[in-house]
Amino acid sequence: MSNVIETRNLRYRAGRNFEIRELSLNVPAGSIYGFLGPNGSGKTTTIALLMGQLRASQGSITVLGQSMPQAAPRILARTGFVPERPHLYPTLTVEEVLRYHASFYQSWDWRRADELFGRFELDRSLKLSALSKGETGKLMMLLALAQNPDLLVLDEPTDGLDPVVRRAMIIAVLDYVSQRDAAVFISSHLVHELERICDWVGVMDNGKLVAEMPMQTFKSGIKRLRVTGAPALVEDPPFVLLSRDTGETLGAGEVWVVRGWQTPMQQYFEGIGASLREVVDLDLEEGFVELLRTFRAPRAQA
Amino acid sequence: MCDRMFRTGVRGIGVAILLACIAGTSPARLEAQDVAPYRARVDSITRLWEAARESAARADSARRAAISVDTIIRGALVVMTTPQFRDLVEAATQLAWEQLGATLREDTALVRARTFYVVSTESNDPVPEPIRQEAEVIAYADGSTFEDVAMRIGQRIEIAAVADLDEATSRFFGNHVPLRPFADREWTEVYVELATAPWSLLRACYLGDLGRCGEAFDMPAADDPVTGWYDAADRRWYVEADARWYHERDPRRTQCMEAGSDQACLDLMRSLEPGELQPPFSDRVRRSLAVAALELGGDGAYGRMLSDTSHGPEQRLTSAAGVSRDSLFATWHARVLAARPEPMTITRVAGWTAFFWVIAFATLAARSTRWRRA
Amino acid sequence: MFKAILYTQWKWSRAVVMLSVVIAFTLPIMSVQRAGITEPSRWETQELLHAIEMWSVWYTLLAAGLGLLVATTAWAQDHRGRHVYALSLPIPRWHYAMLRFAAGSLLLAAPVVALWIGALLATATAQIPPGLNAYPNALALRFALAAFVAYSVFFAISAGTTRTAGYVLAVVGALVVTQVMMEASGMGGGLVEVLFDRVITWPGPLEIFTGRWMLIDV
Repeated sequence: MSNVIETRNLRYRAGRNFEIRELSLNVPAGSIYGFLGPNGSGKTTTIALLMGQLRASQGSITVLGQSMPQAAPRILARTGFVPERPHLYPTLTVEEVLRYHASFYQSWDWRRADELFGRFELDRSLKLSALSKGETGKLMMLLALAQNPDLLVLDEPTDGLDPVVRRAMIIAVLDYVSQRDAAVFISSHLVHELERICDWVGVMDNGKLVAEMPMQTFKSGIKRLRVTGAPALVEDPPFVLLSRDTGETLGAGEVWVVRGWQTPMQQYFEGIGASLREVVDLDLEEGFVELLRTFRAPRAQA
Repeated sequence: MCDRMFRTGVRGIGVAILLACIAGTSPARLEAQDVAPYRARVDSITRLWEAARESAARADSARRAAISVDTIIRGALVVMTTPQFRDLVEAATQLAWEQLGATLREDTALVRARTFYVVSTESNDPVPEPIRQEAEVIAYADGSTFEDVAMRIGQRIEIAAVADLDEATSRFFGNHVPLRPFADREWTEVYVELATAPWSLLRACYLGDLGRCGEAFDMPAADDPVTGWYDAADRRWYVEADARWYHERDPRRTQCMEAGSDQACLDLMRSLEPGELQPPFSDRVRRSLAVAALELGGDGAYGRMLSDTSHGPEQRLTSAAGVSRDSLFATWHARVLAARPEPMTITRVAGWTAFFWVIAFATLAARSTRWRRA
Repeated sequence: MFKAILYTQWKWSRAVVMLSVVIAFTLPIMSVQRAGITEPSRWETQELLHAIEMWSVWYTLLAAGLGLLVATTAWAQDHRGRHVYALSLPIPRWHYAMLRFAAGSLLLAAPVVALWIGALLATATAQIPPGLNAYPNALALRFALAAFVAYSVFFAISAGTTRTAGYVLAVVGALVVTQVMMEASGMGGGLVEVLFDRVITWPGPLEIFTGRWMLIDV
């Protein structure tokens, strides 16, 4: 099994105006896959499809080598899930939720649960309705990790949490992954957070997967170039020209955003009579923004 | 007036033909010959008679079309109504006549001819004056079923039938001769009354003492109903339950109830006017005895009940039933006990049906959709 | 797994169940006491019968109400969370639904037993007048079946999505509106009455609610 999650031409319509179409995802086994996308791009809907909570109108979903939703119980027994919004029963106490949740999983690890309990500093006697947002998030993470899953599916697990809580949760995930050969599928719009932990990235926009590649390739491949003297029409560049901004924002010359940049490509500019003044590395967030901008707008004419 | 004469004439012609055929056939000849050809002749004449009556009804309806009244004739029942209610009234008249036939069988011919005008209370049209003069008006509430209307027609027939009986028998039936079968619900009410009645006489009757049943029915008639129907304890309670002596503040009431003077109770109850003393059985129970007698007597039972003019209810009912008084009581008693209402106990079928529905809906719940909206 | 589900359902519906236990236990006792049947005379037999009959409606209301409340509390928390948690658990949906159904059924047993004990006590301490009989076992059995039927009906409705429940209500509403329009236009026809008759007469599901719900009867 090379991919822990695989979708092929997935299609799902939610309401009149939004549709997930031709979604073909591949999450390699053992990877930490960051699922990026702006709000409303379809991340949560995709996760709901992967977890068997929604039924796709077309396409196939394979999780942990088995077909979803046909093998949903077997898949879910090996999957730890933290949804975007709290889904537990607010009238139960923390202790009651633990016992309730544990009863469904043969792989439940009480030792890990107790260890995480101490680490997260949760109060067992409190009702869920009395927990803060951070405490609820930590509890959901605890439940997911204490199951000893082979796959963690985390839908914006740190959204709205303070940095201390976010850090604690991320560390808990990384500790778990380091102990077990588990894959993590984590969605977020906090790009900088995923940049540090993910080794694969998939970018969703408006129901489509616009990019999927190793994180390093994504980060290193997108550059901002300052170019002067370039002709109006650029023929056959060796890189992917994502955007060309003739507005003067960084000084004289044009600003080009390119993908797939490599250093020897500097010679290209000499060939077209242009001068390459500067090559700027973009971080994941900037690259993400540029990628979306070029995906949504018409491509610059080559 | 002319209409009545017309109908009477048609009926009379039919009866005359029938009687002529019967008179022309002496019993000796019947004994000596096969009855079949005569039966066929009677049937043929009966069919002619029915056809004549249908024609009379159509002529009647045509004549009344001027005042928008339809006529329906079933046996002795002539029922008029407005065309808009015809369907309902026709079904009701048919049912009413069938119910009479179920009890009286061949004796339906003895039922007095009655003319009714049946109309809904919702109708805004006044009853035409010619109709009011010749017919008895029956009004039924809007929303009534044809069974309801049939019951009303039947009740009027039963009230009218009292005229054929002596006073004692009329009183026994509560001025309402039971010519229609009792519904199961009515037998059940009789059972409940018998089973829960407080009077010692009825307790004994319920438990099977048929002689006490007879006393409760006043068969034979008690010399002194006050002592014949009620014992001392019964009398004390009778006085307590009857409000008239309370309101009159009769001192004998206090003596009867608190001092325990049975003589005071007797004096009070004997001071009642004839007919005021409440018998142990209600009118409904007494009518149920008559229904049992008519059912037991079969063909000709009603005729025998009417024909015995010199005697009271006991002789009329035993004559109708064609059995002894004790046999009549035994049959009635068995019929009442058989009408015991279904108590709380659940039948096996009902229990399994409920269990089936529990499983059916549980299965429906198990098939609830897994998919939720995003 | 079942124990966990039973615990949660008990926690959510314990107020309803406990209250029902108290009511179910006292109902037969009160019906007998209020009817004055502890020391009756034969003079009051018919009045007593009538008084007992006046209490019969409370048994049906209790059975229906109990079934409704236990069924809706079984699913209320899942509805609140849009079934996300239940759907993320590693058991088939039908299995989960059956576990909830079984848990609710077990909780129903408490009021049923309470009513049975109350009925036995009531009839044991009362002097039944001649001509009447006591039916504590039959009453308890009928109550049990009626409560379970009501529970299963409402459980099935609650188990569906809000959309399903809406469909059911829409159908019922459409029937009522149709009936009203037919009557207003003079077309008559008791559509709702006919359908209602099918439901409350054998073999309809609510037939168990009809009949004489009388602890003491002829």
